[in-house]
Amino acid sequence: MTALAVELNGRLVRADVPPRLTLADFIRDHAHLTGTHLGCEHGVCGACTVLLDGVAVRSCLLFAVQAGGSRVTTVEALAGDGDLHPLQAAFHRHHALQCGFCTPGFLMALAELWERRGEVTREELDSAIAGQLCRCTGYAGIVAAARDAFGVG
Amino acid sequence: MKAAPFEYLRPESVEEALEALARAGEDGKVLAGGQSLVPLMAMRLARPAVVVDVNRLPLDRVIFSPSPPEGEGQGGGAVIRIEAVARQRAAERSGVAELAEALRWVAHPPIRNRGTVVGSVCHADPAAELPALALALDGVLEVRSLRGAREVPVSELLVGPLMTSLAADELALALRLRLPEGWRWRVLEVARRQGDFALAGVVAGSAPDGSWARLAVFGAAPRPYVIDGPAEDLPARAAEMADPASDIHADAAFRRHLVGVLARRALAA
Repeated sequence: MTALAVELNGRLVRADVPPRLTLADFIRDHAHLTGTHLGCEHGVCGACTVLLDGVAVRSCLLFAVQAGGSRVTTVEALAGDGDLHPLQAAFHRHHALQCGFCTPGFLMALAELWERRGEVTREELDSAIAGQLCRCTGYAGIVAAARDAFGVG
Repeated sequence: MKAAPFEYLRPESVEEALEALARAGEDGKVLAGGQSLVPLMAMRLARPAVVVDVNRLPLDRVIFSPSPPEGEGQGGGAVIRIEAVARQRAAERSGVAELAEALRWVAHPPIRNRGTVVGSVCHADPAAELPALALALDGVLEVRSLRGAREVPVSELLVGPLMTSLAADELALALRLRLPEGWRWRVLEVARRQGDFALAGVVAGSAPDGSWARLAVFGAAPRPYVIDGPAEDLPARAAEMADPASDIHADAAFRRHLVGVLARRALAA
């Protein structure tokens, strides 16, 4: 077991974890935040995407011990206890989800761009979500929501 | 899809990392970005007993010669994430721009946010862009172990699929790339989806007067290969040298065909 201290959605979480525990499993099974979904568990589907120190990463491809001392942000932090995050509101408006399994990954992949605040191009938006798999929507609603949220035509 | 148990070490210095690798021997594995290693561990195709995490060490420098006008392009201090290099494309610094041309094909932003340049070269995936780019730019890996330091040309590094000539106790510290003056470089590939591993791809360089060209091919043989010659000869020669596998994504004949087409397009552009 290895001692781990990580800032998870603004809260300091300490735990003793086996090194082979992925960050995704730590978030779900130890911190009990089940908004982060696990699809393929080998980096292909993107459902487990979270922010690590502000950048989007696959939490199934990181061991929890590697996140020690870092800031981890999951989908639960987007809305907090209040209104929907603008990204979530746009997904709602554009019917950008059906079963919702992939949604946290899409939101967090886009959240990195959102946090950076700069000018975002259509190409950057497409690229940001190109590695996220959705098996329901056909992506049209997701792309429309992303463009709407960022004000990109 | 859970990795087998392992001992996790996060050395605070290169020396400490070398000691850990020497102790672990064949049971040890360097963890850099982990975007290829961790899936292999999840599927238990890799089962290292000791994982040496080098993410906080000043490794993975990419050094261009001649060096770009504003310095190396990226400094030491931490491993170099692929996405960080790709973003420097906007700066259009020479050297970095050539690298960025290849990096736009590498996986997706969340993968590039973790993956490292030198890590990808050392992983030696035959369908990956960066080993082929390193081969095309006369890459030399600076390697150390407790036994000493040595330089490994990328042409001797890449032995086969996921196989390199590095010993278990060796750690790659930096990659040196040579940019011949005035040459133009182009990277092209075909994949099932943008960001997937290439069915086939090429790194093509043309001399300033167009008389001579170089072509590195990836995804079409157990390891990337490089050829030099007059530009008009290279596509046919490259396709002839291809030794591709057939799998669910594409058969060998199609991959060989792609090599010729991509080579022609890249050299014509």
